[in-house]
Amino acid sequence: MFGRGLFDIFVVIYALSLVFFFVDAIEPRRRFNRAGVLLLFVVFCLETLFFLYRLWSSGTLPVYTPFDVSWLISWLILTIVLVVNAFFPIGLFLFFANVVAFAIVALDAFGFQGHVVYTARQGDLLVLHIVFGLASYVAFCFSFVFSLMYLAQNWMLRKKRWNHWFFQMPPLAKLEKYSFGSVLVGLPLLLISIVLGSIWGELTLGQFLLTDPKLLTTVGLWMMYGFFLFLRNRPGFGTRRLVWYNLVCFLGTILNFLVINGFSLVHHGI
Amino acid sequence: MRERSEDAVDILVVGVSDKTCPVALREQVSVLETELGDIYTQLLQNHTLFESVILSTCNRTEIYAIVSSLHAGEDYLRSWFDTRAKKMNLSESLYVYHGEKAVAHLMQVACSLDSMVLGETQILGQVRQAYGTAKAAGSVGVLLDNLFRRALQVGKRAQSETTIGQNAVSISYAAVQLAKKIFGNLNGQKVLLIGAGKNGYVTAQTLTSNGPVQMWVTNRTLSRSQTLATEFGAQAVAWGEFQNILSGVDIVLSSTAAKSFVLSSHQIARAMHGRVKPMVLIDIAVPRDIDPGVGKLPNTYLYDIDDLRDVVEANLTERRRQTQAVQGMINQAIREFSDWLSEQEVIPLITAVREKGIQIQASIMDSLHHKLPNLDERELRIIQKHTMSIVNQLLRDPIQNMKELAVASDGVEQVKLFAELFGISADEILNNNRKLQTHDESQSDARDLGFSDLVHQWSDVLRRDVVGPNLGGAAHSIPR
Repeated sequence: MFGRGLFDIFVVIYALSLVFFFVDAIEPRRRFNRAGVLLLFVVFCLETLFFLYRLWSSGTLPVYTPFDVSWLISWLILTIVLVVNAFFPIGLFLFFANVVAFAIVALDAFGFQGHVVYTARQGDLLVLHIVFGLASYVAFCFSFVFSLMYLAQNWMLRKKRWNHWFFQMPPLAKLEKYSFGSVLVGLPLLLISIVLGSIWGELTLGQFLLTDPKLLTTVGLWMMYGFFLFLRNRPGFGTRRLVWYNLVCFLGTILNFLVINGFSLVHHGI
Repeated sequence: MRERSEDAVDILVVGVSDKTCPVALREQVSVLETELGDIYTQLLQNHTLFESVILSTCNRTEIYAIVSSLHAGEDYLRSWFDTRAKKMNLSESLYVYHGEKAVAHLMQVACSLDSMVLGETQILGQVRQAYGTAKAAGSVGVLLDNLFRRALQVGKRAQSETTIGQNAVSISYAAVQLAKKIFGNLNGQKVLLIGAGKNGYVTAQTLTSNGPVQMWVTNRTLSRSQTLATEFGAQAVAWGEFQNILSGVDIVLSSTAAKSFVLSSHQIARAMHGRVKPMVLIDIAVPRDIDPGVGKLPNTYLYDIDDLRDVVEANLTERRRQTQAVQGMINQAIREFSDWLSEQEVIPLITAVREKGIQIQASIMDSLHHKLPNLDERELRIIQKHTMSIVNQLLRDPIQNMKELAVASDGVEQVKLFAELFGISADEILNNNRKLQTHDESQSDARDLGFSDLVHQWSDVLRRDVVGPNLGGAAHSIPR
């Protein structure tokens, strides 16, 4: 009950901080920005408290349910965003990244119907598999955020809209570089996660689950992102099309996490 | 900041700027660097002015001064400006601020809120230079020193913490800004300059000053291309051949006097075929040189002169929006300066309280000396040290609290109450103030001592009270 209450409180505060950021993004006011950052820090503290509570109540690293994985992705995004904003501020990154992170926790809040108890044998290998998978998803989330920012900035440059967002957002070349860099980080992490998951399956269930839909789609997703790297250096494809392709890849990531889990033999959907 | 009486020491600024008078008047009163030495010598000889700083730029000439009397100071500076203006009438153009308004004005000038081009960065360097020159001339004491340091700090803060000085306010810089928004930076970008129009020339200059670019120049007259190429360290290309290098160019800058399009959509589409990098086309010519249809091609960004003007206007709007944040910084700096000033003002009272303590201690020592005549030199020294320590320890907290109360909103009332509690009369405070101002008058002229020295003395008293009698030293005069 305490955990659920805490979760609901930080979702509400998260929403409030985004309202401040939204107002600041539309009609810039320093005090709104500061209020947004302050509330975001409160959300970070509450999420960390929630993490410790889950750790204490479950007696293990809380990564075994889709609910936990979802809010952990959001917590990681929030942590990275706060650190990046403190040391290398990127205009409007705080706003865009938190819209994505909030969407994840909001989905968690409404989609959460109770704990899914994982009954199979657990261990370090499984934890590592989940943690690497989770980290790769976070990297893809950032790539998605930078792609969105690229499209917004590109739209303003082509439509000649010289507004506050135009001044705030980094140049197109930088946004594309950040998006590419995030994929570059996420791709090996996802590969490690796939390998560890396969080994865990072999050790626990006595066989490689080659026909498991989750494994097949995740390998497919990895290949989609791999193709992204290939296309980036292909002359004539165009950065804008590449960015759109990146958004398609992220859509694949969401489907892989939300839908495909339900068909898997060893994963649980929300 | 509390209002002072007209005969009290105050901060005063008298000057003219582009907002109050035309250039014909400004150039009459502007001060050349070579003249500054003589002018400071002249100002230092005046008994009304304790400290002064002259700020003279293309857009303003101002004198900041610490004066013993507002009336006398203002009259003197007005006549100084009138003398420089010769026969021209300056009375309508001069502005005069004193006290908090003078402080606020300096900070607004340093933050470029009062500049012709809002947010321009040059003024901060000019204020710094004016302060440095005045200091070297011996015309800056503690008050203006503190004020100018704070003004420079807030000016620097405005530039670093806001974007007031960052967005372009000229057509050529707007073109560079747009190119940077696409490529990130201009290092190594390949630029093609088409035509030798004035706007194109200026923009090319701005582009080259923003990063080492690789440039080609083309013009209908090859000799003109070659002249420009030599100037920019670029390569000249014959007019009929520039289409051949288009596919390898990142930025096209066009400024010809042609009556029809120099670059068609078809030409650019062909050049873009197989390219990964985007291409930015800046058309500064009227009539336009580049077919507007180019802007619809993928991966190309086309901007004409109207677009650049819109960028400049948007940048100015953005700068104006930033003034709110800068004004907040200025208000904070004014409050801090006011607090510092209030601390300095309470020092005569602190000195009076301390002197009273010293007198009591001295009379007790006298009494002891009479009642215990057998005490030797060493014993007297120990008793002297310990009784002095009692006085210091008793006064330390009240004095510290007094300094804090002085900066409170009802500081004047608190100071009065403090004086009453310690039985210090208004006359005693006045005497102390006068004593400080005429300190060692027999040995040196009052003007030689200066208000800045008085504040120095006050600072010494302050230090002595905070640190203690052994480290702080006595309130002796400070040589200039």
